[in-house]
Amino acid sequence: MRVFKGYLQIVFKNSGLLLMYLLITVSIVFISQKNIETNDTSAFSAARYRVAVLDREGGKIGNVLTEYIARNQILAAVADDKQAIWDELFYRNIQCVLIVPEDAAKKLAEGGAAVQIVSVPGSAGEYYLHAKINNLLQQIRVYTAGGFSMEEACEKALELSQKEASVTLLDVNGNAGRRPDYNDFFAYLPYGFLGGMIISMSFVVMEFKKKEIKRRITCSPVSARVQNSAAIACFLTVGVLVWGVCIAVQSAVYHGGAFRSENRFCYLLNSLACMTVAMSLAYLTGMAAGNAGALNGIANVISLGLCFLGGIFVPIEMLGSGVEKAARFLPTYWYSKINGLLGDYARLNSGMLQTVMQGLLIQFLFAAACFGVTTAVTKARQRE
Amino acid sequence: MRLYAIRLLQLLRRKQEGFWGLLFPIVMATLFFVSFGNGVDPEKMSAVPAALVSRGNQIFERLLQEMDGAVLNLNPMEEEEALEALAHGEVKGIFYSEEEPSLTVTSLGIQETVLETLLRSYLENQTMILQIGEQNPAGLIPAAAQISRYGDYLESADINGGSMETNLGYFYALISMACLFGAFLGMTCATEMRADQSPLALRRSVAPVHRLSLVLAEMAAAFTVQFGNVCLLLLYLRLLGLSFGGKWALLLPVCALGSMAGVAFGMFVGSAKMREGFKNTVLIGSSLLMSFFAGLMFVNMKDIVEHHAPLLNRINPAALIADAFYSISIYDNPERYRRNLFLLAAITSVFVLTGFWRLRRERYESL
Repeated sequence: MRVFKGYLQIVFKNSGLLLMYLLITVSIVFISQKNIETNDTSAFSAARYRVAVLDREGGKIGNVLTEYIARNQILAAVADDKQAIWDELFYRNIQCVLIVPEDAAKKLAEGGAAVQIVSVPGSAGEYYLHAKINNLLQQIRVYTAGGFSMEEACEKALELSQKEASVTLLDVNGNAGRRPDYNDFFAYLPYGFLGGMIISMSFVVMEFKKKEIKRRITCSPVSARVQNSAAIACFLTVGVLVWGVCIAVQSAVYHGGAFRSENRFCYLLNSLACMTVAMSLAYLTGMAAGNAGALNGIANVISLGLCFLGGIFVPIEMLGSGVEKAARFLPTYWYSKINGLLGDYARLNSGMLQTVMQGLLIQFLFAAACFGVTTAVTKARQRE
Repeated sequence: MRLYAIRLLQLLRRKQEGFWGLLFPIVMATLFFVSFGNGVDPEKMSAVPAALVSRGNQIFERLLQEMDGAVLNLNPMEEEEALEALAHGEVKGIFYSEEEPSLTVTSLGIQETVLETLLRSYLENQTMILQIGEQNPAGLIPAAAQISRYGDYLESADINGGSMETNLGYFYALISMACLFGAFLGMTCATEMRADQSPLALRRSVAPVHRLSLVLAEMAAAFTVQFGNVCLLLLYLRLLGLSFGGKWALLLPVCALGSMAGVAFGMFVGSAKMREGFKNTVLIGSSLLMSFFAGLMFVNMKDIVEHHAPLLNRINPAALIADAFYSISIYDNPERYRRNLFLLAAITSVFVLTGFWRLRRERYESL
C-alpha cells in the first residue's frame, strides 16, 4: 500500500498536466461543435455557408443579395479590407465574400459580371455558392426580360428562393443522416488520453527508474512482485479514473451521451481500448525518456502524430490511400474507424460488428505489444 | 568568448537536449507532411454520384443529363437498385423524374445540397415561366430566350493573397513549438548557474568570473544551438516543399527572435526558486498551452483567440511567431510582421532581464 501511495503521490504532482491535456481536448470538441449549425434532423435541410456581402452599391442588387444570403445561407460580417477578408477565408470563418460594385445594376442589365466573388478556389463551397448566386442574378434578368421592372424582378427572384423542393431524408442508418453530438467528443478523446497519460504517468516511471531510487528499492524489504503489483495498480487506478471522468463528462454534457445509443457498449469498449493503448505508451515513454524535455517532445510526437495519422484530427479520407494503408498499423486508426461506424450507423450489421471487434482486438494487441517490449527492455537493462 | 565557446561545445556534446530539440520538430513536420501533403483536398469539388429513376419527365431528365460530367455522375437505375445503391453509399441521392420531380437522400452534407440545388433550380425556372406566362404573356418569349442564354454574372476578385491552405497553419505552429523547445535548453543553463541546484553551478559560483559574463555566455551558447536547430528544421521543411513565399531573409529574424524567446523563457523559469520537478511541469504546461493557442492541435485556435481575446495573441510568443510566418507567407503585410517582431523582442527582453536579475548577486551562506 505504501508503494502504491508513493506512485499516486507522483501522479498527483503531475496531475495539472494531465488535466491540461483533457481540457485542451474538451475545448477542441466544443469549439469544433460550435461551428456546426444544428438543424431539425427529421427533415432535409441544405448545408448553409457563412457568406459576407460588401455592398458598395447600396442599391437594388446589394439589397437583394444581402436578403437572399440572410434567408438561405448565414449572413456574416467582414471588414471591407483585403487582409481581413483573406484572414476570414483562410481560417474558413466565412466561405465566400460577395462584393457588389457601385455600377452592379448597370452591369447586370448589360449582361456583364455584376458582382465580384472571393472564395476558396476549387472548393465545393465555391462551386455551390457561385451557382446559387449566379442563378439568382439570372432569374432577375429573366424577369426583367419578361417585362418586369428591376424592383419587381428582384422581389420575385427572392420569392422563388423560398420555394421548397420535394426532398426526402431516408433514415437508413437510424441516425437521421447526422452523427450524434457525443460522437465528436469520443472522436477527439484519444488526444487527451494519449497526451495526458503519457505526460503524467511517464513521470512516475522516470522517477522510479532513477539509479539511486532503484538501488534503495532493491535493498528494501518489499518484494519485487509487490512493487510491480503496486505500479500496475497505480496505472490501472489512474487510467480507469480518467476514463470514468471522461465518460461521466460526456454523459453530463450530452444528456446521457453514449448511454442513449444502442451501441453504448461499443463506445465504452472503444474508449477503454484507447485508454489501454495510452497507458502502455506512457509506460514505454517513461522508460525511453531521459529528462523532462525529451518527455515533452515524445509526448507531443506520439499524441499529435497518432492523432493526425490515425484520422482523429483530420478525416481518414484526407490521408490518401498510401498513408491510409500505413495508418492501419496504428491503434488510433482503428479507434477512429470504429467511432466513425458508431456515428454513421445507429444499428450495426454483422459486417460492421466484425470490423468493430477487429479494431478493438488490434488496439488491445498494440497495447500488449508495447507493454511486452517495455518489460523485455527493462529486464535486459536490469541484468546489465 | 572563451566561456561562450566552451559552453557551446558542452551543449553540443549533450545529446539529450540538442538531439531531442532537433529530432522532435523534424518528426512532427514529417507527420504533418504525410497527413496533409498528399494532395487530397476534402474541400475540392468533384462530381456527385446520383441515381435517376425515370418516370417520364423528359425536360428534367435532359437538365440532369446536361449536368452529367463535371457536376453529376448520373446513373439511370430502377427504384430498387437505386435504393440499394443509396443505402450502400454508392450514390448520394436518387432523382425521381416525375411531373413534380423529387429527390431522396440519406444524409445532410454538401453533396446532397448540390443535388437539391439542381432540383430546386429546375423547379424555380418552371415556376418563373409559369408566373411570367400568367402575369405578362407578352414577355414569355424574351424570358425563355434569356433562360437559354445562361451567362456568368460573377467574376473572381483578386485580393493579393498567397495560399488558402489552412493546414499551413499547423507548420507555422510547429515552428513556434520548435522555437519554444529552446526553453528546455534555457532552463538547463539557468539550473547550472544556481549553486543550490547543481554541483556544476556550485563550482562556477566560486570561480572569479563576473556573473553577467557567465549569464551572457550561457544565453548566447543556448541561443546558438537552438537557432541552429530551428534553421535545420526550416531547411527540412523547404526540402518537403514548403516555400514560405520565398522570403527567406524575412524568416530568419523571426526564427532568431523566436529561438531567443524560447531560451529566455527557459532561463526565466529556471532561475526561479522552485524545485526542479515543478519547474519542469511549469515549462511543459506553458509550452503546451502556448502551442495550443498558436494552433498546433487545432489550427483555427489562433484566429479564435484573435476574435475573442486578441491581447492573448500579443503576449503569446508562439502565436507571435506563427503570425509572423503567416504575414510573410500567406498575406504579405510588412506592418503586421514588424509588430510581431517588436512584441516578440519586448517579451524576450522581459524574460532576459528578469532571468538575469534573479541570477545575479546570488550569495550562499553554505554550499
